[in-house]
Amino acid sequence: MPLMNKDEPLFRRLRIYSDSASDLILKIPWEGELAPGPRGELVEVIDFDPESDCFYSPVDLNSPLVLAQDGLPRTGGDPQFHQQTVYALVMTTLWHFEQALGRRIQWPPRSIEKPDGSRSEQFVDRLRVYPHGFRGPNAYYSPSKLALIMGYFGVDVPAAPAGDPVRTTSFTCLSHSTVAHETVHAILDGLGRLARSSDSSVEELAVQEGMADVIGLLQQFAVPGLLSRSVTFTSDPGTNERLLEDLAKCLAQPVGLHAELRSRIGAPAGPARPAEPRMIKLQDRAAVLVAAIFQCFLAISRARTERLLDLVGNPRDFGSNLRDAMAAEVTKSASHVLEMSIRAIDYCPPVEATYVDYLRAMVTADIDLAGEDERGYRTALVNAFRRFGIAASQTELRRPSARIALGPIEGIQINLASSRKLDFEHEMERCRMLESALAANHHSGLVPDAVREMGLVLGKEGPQTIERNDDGLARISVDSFRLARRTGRRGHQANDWVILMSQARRGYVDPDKQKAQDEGEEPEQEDFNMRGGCTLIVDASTLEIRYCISKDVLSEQTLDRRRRSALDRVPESAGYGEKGRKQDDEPFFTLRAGLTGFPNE
Amino acid sequence: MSKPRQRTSRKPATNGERLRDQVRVRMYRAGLGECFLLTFPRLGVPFHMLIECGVIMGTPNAVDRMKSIARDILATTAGHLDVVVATHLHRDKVSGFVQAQDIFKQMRVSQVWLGWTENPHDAHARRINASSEPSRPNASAVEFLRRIGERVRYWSGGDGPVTLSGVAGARVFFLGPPRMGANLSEALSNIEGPRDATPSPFDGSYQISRKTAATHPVYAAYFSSAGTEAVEWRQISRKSLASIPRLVINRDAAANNTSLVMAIELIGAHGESKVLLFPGDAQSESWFSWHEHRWPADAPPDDQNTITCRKILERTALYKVSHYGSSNGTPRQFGLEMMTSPELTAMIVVDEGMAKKKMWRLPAPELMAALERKTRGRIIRSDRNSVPEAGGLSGPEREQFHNSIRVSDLYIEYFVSIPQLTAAERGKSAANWTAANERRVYLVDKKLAGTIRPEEEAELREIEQLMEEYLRTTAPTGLGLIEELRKTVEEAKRPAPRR
Repeated sequence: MPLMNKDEPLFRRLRIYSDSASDLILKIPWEGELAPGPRGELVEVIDFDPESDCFYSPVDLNSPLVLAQDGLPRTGGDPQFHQQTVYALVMTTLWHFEQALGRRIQWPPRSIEKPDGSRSEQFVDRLRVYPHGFRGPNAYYSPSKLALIMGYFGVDVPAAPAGDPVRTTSFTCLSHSTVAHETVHAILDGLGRLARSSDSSVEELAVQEGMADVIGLLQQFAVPGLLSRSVTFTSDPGTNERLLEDLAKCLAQPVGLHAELRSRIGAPAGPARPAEPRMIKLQDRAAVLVAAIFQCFLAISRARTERLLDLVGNPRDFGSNLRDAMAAEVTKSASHVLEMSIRAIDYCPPVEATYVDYLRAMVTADIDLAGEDERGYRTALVNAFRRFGIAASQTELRRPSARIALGPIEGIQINLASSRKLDFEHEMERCRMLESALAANHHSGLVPDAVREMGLVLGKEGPQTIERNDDGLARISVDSFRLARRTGRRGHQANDWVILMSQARRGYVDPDKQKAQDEGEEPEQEDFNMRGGCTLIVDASTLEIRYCISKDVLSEQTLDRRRRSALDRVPESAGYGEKGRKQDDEPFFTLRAGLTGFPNE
Repeated sequence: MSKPRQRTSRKPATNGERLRDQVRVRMYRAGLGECFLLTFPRLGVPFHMLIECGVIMGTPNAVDRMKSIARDILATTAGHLDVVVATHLHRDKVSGFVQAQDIFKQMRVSQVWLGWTENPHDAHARRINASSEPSRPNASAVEFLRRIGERVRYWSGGDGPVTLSGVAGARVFFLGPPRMGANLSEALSNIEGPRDATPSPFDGSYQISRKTAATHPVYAAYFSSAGTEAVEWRQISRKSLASIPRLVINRDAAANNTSLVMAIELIGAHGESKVLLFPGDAQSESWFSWHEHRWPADAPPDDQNTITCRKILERTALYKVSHYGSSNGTPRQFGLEMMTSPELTAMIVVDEGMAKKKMWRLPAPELMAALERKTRGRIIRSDRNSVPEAGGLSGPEREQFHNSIRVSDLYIEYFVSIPQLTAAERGKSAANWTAANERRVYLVDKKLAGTIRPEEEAELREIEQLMEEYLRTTAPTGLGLIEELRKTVEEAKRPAPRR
């Protein structure tokens, strides 16, 4: 019988790994052209296992047998079930980002050197995922291969009391929080915002790690049906919060690999920073952000469920319908906080984002898209951050002074391309156009005050440590120039250009040397690379610059923070005489080594 | 060889003399290899601790060198070592126990201290070692130590403090080797393991060989593209992962980071504290892990009585430079920069000729410059025959420093002084008797078991004699009072003694 309705389905249902015995099924956007691998428009899973020197048969998710039963059933020792799980998890994360940011995901281009020495940026269509990439309790995003490389490893699981432990294998590709975390790194790279350990302060890295952790965590809470079967809600809000905290510790475990994360959730709030410098693991600092945002989620959940309980008059007999309704409220809270956390990324400065920057970004993004704070989300957020020692006198971004106007963008057209590749090419044109406008006419319609407000330096001015072209003119790099078409919480449409600009400056640990180099002494190898720049949010219809979120390339404070970070840095330049030793090929391998608690079969 | 000037109030003790208020650190000059003999004052015979005994492969006359060192140790200790420490299993730390085995066999070794990674009863250690067993040529040295030690103890970072039997005012904190967590050592065993392919965890029916994959409809694209697109940049291999510089992957560093790390704290009469830091070859990854410990383990970190790594580094008066001064052996901010004691002195084994031959940058000039600055010139190198100039010191400081060093062809000695209580003061302080009494109980047990040796008998007599004196002065019993009364009465009866 011919099909009458030829519309493709919206979603594909895929079973993923879960800790409990019952199945967990994710709904992910339908891809009609999904090839075996799976290999879709954005992601390709290549199941090559170098340690065992073999490939594993790729799963065909469009096979009727697989489609008919919501993906392969969960059986132990089936690499195809792993391929299915990792694909579903990456796609879920991508879907949340596309929804929240209002634009298609782009992967970072591959920068290749041409024979004449110049560089060109090549479009990369898919993120690659190696679900069994190496042996070891680790998983990481490799910027140089644009790939997620997931490890697997043997662990001893305690068997019956007093019995010998049983050797099993753990797979990081089955861990929801780990896959989501690494996918966030890849997405940030595509947004031109990836903080790398060599170029960033510890706090910036911590914000990034924390963000990836919390997105991975909330994403799990937002899976429909997960809460109703994992938590038995009660009429006591305190008990409910404890249950949610326990679940979070359980779900975050593989992310946390860091026990610190687990210990922070539900722990009494301590100061965000210790009074004296001591060894603090990055994850420990990241945990502060996770705990603060989780706290906000709990407060919002509490408000929503209390209202529900009020409505039903808090019955003695707590039926499963009421439990499900409560779970639905909490799930909704999780997806709202998840959306807020992702949207905030556009409102962060492109470099050197701090906890406070992230807090302001969350608040401002919410004002932008939700308008009035009817349910008290923002109050909950600000209070939760304050509990963890992150407080700001001003919790929302200031509007830029009227002086900022960016001449060169006047002629920009909204160009809705049919493919991601065309999208990418248009964006490159816009970036190059803006860059050359800023370089050619170093006023470019900008008054000096405006340039300062953007945290940049134009023309011949400023310290000589700022990266310059052959004519001695300061170089500005436009890293991203995209249209965000977001839908507000009340259904209104907001179209904005999001533009990222940055400028590099050579940094030196020794302040005297910094001064001498700033004043134009013969350039020497820098100790670290400092960057300044801004994110511009420009109304696409009026071309009004609505926000200018900047980090000043001249800031002494940032310079000082980077200086301390350079000394704080764990593996590189930790010893003596190791300058110039580059360890940044796989920055996230080292960051995430030492993990524990992955799913095993 | 220049002799230290002898204008001093307190001369270093020579071999025959008793050490008083001083710990002697003797650095043997073996070449590129380490051997330190530490001697602590104790009631009766001194306490001897031997840390390492080895020299690197390719050293000329290695066996003879090791034998003459072992003979000196035998003579100095009268054949009794209280503790022998082998920080880790590299040849340059343990070869002597094999090369001079016949001499070490003549000695009595009360305890052997090793890192947890050498513990045969530790499941994780077994797994790590299992993967590298064939390449552990120095295992026989450790086997030998296990055999001659009356007691073998294994330590991990965070252990301690332990006292040294009978030595007043000394305790040892163990900073490494890090426990690393089950999974890090797991990674070590996995990635460090055999270089051949390891069996896949999945059934053969799922597997596609590399050769078949090259023509596979899905995986062919991994090897070559239909167009001009490059594919190699995204490929992965075991080699590409192994090149990532990282503790768990670098075999040599991994072994160095299994070093047993000791901070020996000397506590003086008035609570002053000096630490002798012996880190083995620990590299920065190990150093960073030290900061995670505190003593007692559950103490609040900010309490002033809690011992933290920071406090230990701040109190360090003698630093045995890790790993011959390699650039990664001494971290900056969380290592040397935290050593702020004005007395900081460094001892370092240097053999530039051998390092050059092996193409090693040892010691790293940047580290030497930093040590020079931190110690103000108090760097004692095993390859120098003269006492260091130490230009940054004031006159009296320099004089004191020079008087604390003695150079011979076989070794260089450095004396760390720590004022202890005088015998009279000691008599008043009950606290000092804890260590002495512990030693006494140990010796009494041996006496009862019939295994006590003559010099220990002498030591026991001395301790008991001092103890009686002490009890008489501080805690006269009722019986003693009656006894004294009786004596007084008897004396009164007797005719007056002749004067």
